[in-house]
Amino acid sequence: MNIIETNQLSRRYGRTEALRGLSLAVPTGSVFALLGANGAGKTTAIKVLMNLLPPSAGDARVLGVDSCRLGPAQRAQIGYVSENQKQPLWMTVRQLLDYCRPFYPTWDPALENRLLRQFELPVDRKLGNLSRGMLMKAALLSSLAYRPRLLVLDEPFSGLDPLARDDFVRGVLETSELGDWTVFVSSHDIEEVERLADNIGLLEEGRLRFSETTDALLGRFRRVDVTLTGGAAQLAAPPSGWLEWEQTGGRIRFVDTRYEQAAAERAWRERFPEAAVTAQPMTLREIFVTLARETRNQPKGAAA
Amino acid sequence: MNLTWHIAKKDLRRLRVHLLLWTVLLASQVFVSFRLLSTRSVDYTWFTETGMMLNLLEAVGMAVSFIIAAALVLDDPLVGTDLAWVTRPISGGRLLRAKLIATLLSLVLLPILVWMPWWFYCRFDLGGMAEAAVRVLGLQALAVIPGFVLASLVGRTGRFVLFSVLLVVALVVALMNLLAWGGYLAVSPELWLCRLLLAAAVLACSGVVVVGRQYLTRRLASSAGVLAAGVVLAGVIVACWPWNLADLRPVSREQVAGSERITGEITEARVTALDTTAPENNGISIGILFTGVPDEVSLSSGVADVELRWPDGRVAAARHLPVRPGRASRWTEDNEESSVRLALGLVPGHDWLHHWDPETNAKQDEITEAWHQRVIKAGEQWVDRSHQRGSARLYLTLAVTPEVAARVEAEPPACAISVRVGIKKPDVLLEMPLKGDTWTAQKGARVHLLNISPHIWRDVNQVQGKAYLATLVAASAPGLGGLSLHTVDRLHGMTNFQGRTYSFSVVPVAGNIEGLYFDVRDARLWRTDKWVEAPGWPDSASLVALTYRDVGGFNRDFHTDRLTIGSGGGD
Repeated sequence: MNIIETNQLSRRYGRTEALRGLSLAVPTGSVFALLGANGAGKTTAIKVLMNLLPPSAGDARVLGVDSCRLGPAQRAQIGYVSENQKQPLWMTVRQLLDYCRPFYPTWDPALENRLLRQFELPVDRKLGNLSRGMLMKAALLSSLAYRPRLLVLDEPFSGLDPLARDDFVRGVLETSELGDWTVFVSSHDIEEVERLADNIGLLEEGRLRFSETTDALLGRFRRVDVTLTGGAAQLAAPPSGWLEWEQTGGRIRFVDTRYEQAAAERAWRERFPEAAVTAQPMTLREIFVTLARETRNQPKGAAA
Repeated sequence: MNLTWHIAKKDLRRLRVHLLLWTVLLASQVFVSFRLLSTRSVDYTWFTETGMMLNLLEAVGMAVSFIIAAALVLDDPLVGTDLAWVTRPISGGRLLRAKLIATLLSLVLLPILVWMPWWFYCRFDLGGMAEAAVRVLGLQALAVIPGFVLASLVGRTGRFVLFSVLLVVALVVALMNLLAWGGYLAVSPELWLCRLLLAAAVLACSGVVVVGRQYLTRRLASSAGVLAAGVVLAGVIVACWPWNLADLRPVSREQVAGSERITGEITEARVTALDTTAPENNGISIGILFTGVPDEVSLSSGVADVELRWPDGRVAAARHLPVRPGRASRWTEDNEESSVRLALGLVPGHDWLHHWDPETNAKQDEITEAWHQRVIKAGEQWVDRSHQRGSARLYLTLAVTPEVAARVEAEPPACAISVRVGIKKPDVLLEMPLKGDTWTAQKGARVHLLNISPHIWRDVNQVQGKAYLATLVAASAPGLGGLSLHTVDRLHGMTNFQGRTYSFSVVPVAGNIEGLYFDVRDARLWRTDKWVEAPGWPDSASLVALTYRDVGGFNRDFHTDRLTIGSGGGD
């Protein structure tokens, strides 16, 4: 069961195509991270999902409802926190919570108080006088206290100091453990996402490059080091799944994007029969950088 | 409803400082109104300047309403992709209802509450208060609808300010063009009014649709398209709408009871101008004399279809022409006098002192005869326009080309008129002693008689006596259309029209406040060889404020084979 599904979703701004046929499925109960460089289309995708923007083509379903028809019943089950969201800065934290509370039948005062303590928010201070981190935490609190079925976070870590990030992530993680929540987060902040996400999708120039579980992603990427015992050799062109191919003398380095132990070792033996081969797991950051670099080196529009 | 009210409360809390200033502004208008009415002496410069200040406060109030309406919308904007309310369980319909509630409370109910003491002070009755409240609503709508429309399309305060400035500039330019251009068009004032009202209605409707669409769909481009279509349509209507919608309404044929005795005839016509440079000035003024008007009522204005026809078949005609009492006949020819006397409990037809005092009567006749002789000797034509009880004269003006006007003079045509005339009845609002430093408030009118100072008067017949210069300020409910002020001397059976306050007003929602001077002449009697003061004066005199209520109308058709062209005419 998917809580979010998109089918060939596109969105244009004049001549610029921000989203190009995005087809995505976010499983219920997952913490799904939509990654991508600046301008990849993450925020546009979320705005379409939240019906802040109409799609130019295709469709999206959120909580089983066409995103263009999201009504109060669905909104009451969705929490949305965005760095771009315009907050009522004239309100104090208390006034914000007092204002939001009646709209949500599932509002949990105990959770509200717990988060207030955890985030150490000054309740009588106006939102306009809060630091950016505090403001994001206030927004998160007002979106968590009613235990939404779906929590959507759009670039929530931008501009936050490490401490605020940590508070934020801990808040999301701890509260998501309290129920069967789905978290959909867009970010280019890989380290924080790595702590949160169990599913990852990568957007590149408006297209979805992949979408899979974090374990599967981390499992299929390896940094491979090959030491040729017979000295330098002329090798045929590497397969398409081997990226960042580098040959220096008797040493070859590349990233295998389709690592599966048995098959990979067989392939290495065929290609480097006289070599010592080692394969190291990669962090999400390294994987992201590798893919971003590859995209950058490709001719425009060839990323697909 | 609870959630809607919850949002409205949030908006009102958000704008509490604005609303406080708005309340102060409204209260200051009421305060200035009290000041105008409680003045101890009318210094006309002060009165006019204070009245202008009141108008200025009213204009500022309208601007503040415009800003508050916009601020209400902009607190939950409708344009942009960073809207917070959209991501909360709030439907556009609920948000719109909340904004309307907040608007109603802050921009309609609040002014009504602030003005309420003034309405009580002026003794507005329930109808008067309802009408004043409707005026508040109408005035506020003039400010709120543009504020809502603009704010729902721009989404940001900065843009709102920019577009507001552009809107004001566009309005000024449009108005200047309208004034400059209007003079060259042969369009009747009634049609202009119809065009402007129709254009305003189209703009208001498109504005309402735009706001509704924005709240329900947030589709900026199509909403702006609706507004643009409305503006273009309004422009086309102002430029070339051909029909006066008031004309399309069938003229009532309902006859008020008692009107069957009223008869009439076309008396005379005159050419008002023969001007080829300003064709709109050319017209034929036609008078109709009505007789048999019951004492308790008088004739007000009416509407007529007119046809001038020549033997060769040429026709000049017009429909729905206004028919009005002549300017010179406000009191003496339109039969108001008898109805006022009856309303005041006096016997009609004995309006001057000499009617009941034979000696004074004889002296007056002698003076009048001598004056007639003087006038006739001077070679001037004397037209006896003395008012006959039960008669009233109304006039209409038919706009014609200079050629037609010339032909009317040279070859008077046959004339057919089908007219609907309104009937009005005086309603005495208040009566107060003719003494300085007194006030009375009743039935939506409040009159402060500030002082009465005596001086000597002398008329053309060398009759002289004592007069009293009365200074008063008066306020009246907007629906009364101004007050008609009369002095009444019940002891001597006299009543005199002293003046009117008019329906244009310094405080549109409060009613009309006017300062007025008038001379009250004392009653003089001729005794043997001199004029003496009538006994009991001035204690016997009082001041009456009355208004006229429409009580219905009647229809008549007139025809004459040959129009009488005169040089007089009353209009």
